[in-house]
Amino acid sequence: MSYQNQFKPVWRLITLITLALLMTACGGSSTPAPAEKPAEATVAKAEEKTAEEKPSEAATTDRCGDKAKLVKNINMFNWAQYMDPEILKQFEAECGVKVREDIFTSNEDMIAKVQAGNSGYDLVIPSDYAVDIMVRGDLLAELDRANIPNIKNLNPLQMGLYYDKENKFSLPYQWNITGIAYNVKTFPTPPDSWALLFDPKQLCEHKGFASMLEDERESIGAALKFLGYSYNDTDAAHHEEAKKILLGQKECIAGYNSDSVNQTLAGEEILFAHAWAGMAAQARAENDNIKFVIAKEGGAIWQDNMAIPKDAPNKYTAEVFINYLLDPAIGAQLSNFTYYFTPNKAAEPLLSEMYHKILTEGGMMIDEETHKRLEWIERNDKSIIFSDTWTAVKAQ
Amino acid sequence: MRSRQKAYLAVLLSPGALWLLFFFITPSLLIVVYSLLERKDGGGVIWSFTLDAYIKLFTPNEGTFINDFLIIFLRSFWWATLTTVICLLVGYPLAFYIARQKPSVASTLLFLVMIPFWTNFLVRTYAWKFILNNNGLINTILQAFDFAPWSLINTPTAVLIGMVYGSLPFMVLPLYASIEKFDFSLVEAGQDLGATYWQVFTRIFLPLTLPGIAAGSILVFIPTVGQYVVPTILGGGKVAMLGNILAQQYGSALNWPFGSAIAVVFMVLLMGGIIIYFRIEQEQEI
Repeated sequence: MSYQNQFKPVWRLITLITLALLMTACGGSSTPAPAEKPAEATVAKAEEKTAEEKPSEAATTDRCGDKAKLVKNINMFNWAQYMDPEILKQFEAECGVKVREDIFTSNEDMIAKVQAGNSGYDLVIPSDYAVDIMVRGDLLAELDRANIPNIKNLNPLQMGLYYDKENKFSLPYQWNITGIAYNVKTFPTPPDSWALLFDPKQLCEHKGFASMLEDERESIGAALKFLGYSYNDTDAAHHEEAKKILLGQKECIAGYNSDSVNQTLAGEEILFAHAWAGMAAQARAENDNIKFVIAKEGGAIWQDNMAIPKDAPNKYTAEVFINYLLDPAIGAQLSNFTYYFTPNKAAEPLLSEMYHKILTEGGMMIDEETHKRLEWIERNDKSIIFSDTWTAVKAQ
Repeated sequence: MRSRQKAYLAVLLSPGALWLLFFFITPSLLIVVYSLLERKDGGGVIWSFTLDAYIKLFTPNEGTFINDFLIIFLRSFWWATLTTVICLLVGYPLAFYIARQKPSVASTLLFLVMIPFWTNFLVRTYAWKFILNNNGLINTILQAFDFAPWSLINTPTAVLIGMVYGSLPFMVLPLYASIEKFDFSLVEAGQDLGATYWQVFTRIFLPLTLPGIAAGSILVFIPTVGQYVVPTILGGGKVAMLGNILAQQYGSALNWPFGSAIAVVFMVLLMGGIIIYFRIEQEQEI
């Protein structure tokens, strides 16, 4: 090898490593590109445009509020797979507003972005306790009810909850419950207790085929519930007991998973799981062996909400969009897509047969008696103990 | 003339220096400051001085000398050490083999080592999940030959496989660079003077390729010790490493000061280790 050649590998190496680092660094979060609009929608929009010019016809659709005050684009910050893309297309065709959707994976990520200021989001979807945090942090704008007449459609049971008693800052988007999803091939007689997941004798019969939610409040909460305590218990001794329960099950579960329980259940990679009813219903839509049950000890109930950040650039248009989503037909369309529960009383009769079939046959529909066993997950100053218990569970 | 040279230097250095100042030193200092502040419920910090975060980090569990955070620290360091050693054992012969090829073959082989970087690491880790799954590639093959299934997914072994896989190129490339530069006539010289193969390896080859080993080990160890993705995806989130606990503190726990304190201790330990390492190496050279 020639003398000159000796230096080349060094340069090659530097280039290669730089390239490698660049490529790994590009991992970060990616923003999904806004959905492409099909040709028909464009045509529809063009027609809409011409209609707009004649003021007499503009009033035909009251779902768009005062069209003159709408902006062309708004930004929504939402959970993954939590919005029917068709609804966005319809809204654009009908009202001429394009809704760009960004995805977050946890309330905390979303709060951090809004907290930093100038996030540019006009509409965010925080869960119950996250609304509480955001209201206390003065991050949300008060909603102007005059712009949201469809509030009348909402189910009073889903309104005025602990985190926003007068619904000044938030309106319900979807709600759901937490329990056990299972495969009827493995469990012909439906399980009825958290013991299936927390009693090592029962659990370890199916070692490696169960999963728990990757969520400190849900998983520790379920253990507390199994022990007869509240989801919101912050007593150190009770947490010690819950920790033992969770450590005891750890060897026999496959792992902690919140993001893809629907897929692992449907693919029968997992045979039973601590899961949300909506996720279980999504799994059932693909595999009708999947069913859901609320344990006799109880389960959790939660709700995601629509809210507008205080520094949102287009508050009026966002309110019009909220109003649009609370329309009975649109509300039903949304839940038909997500399989989560609709807080929209007027939308209930419009839910699809498929939705009813999956949820009724899958055990996700709950009666009043079951409803009484559900508990809201609340957050306060002492809730930090959940993080410490969770660390302890993950450390071993 | 001299001052002009200085001006030149300043111009050349300023982009890099400014970059480091804004995007490295400032955030690092910010983390140090955050770690000394009070936690604000709901995320963020309250601007009043406290050592709470460090006290929490160093308070042992009742009746023991260690606590959960220390266990996670130790595990992260242990797993990163294992990953580094395995990468070295696999990477050293591989780099040696590549370096001994004709330049054209060597560049092709190096290219092959680099190819995985064309795909996002997250995607490749998911691919490993499909390989290691209970009904994944390995178990399908095992079952086809009537062997008992091997439950690999969601175990520490799976995490280790994922981490070794991800870091191997970072070990191979610097090793290759240093072996490439090695003058193989020294081997003949050693043998002429009566050295055995083992002596040639330990007394000549190893010391002269040590810089490559060191560079590779650092490049593998440091990213591995703070892993987040691999334990989450291949370990089923069952056993935490430093990255996971950091994400938890900034995320669901909304305890920024404590997350910062963990990061500070972690940085100090790593920097301390590297400084000591370079000191020793310098002394050896003298």
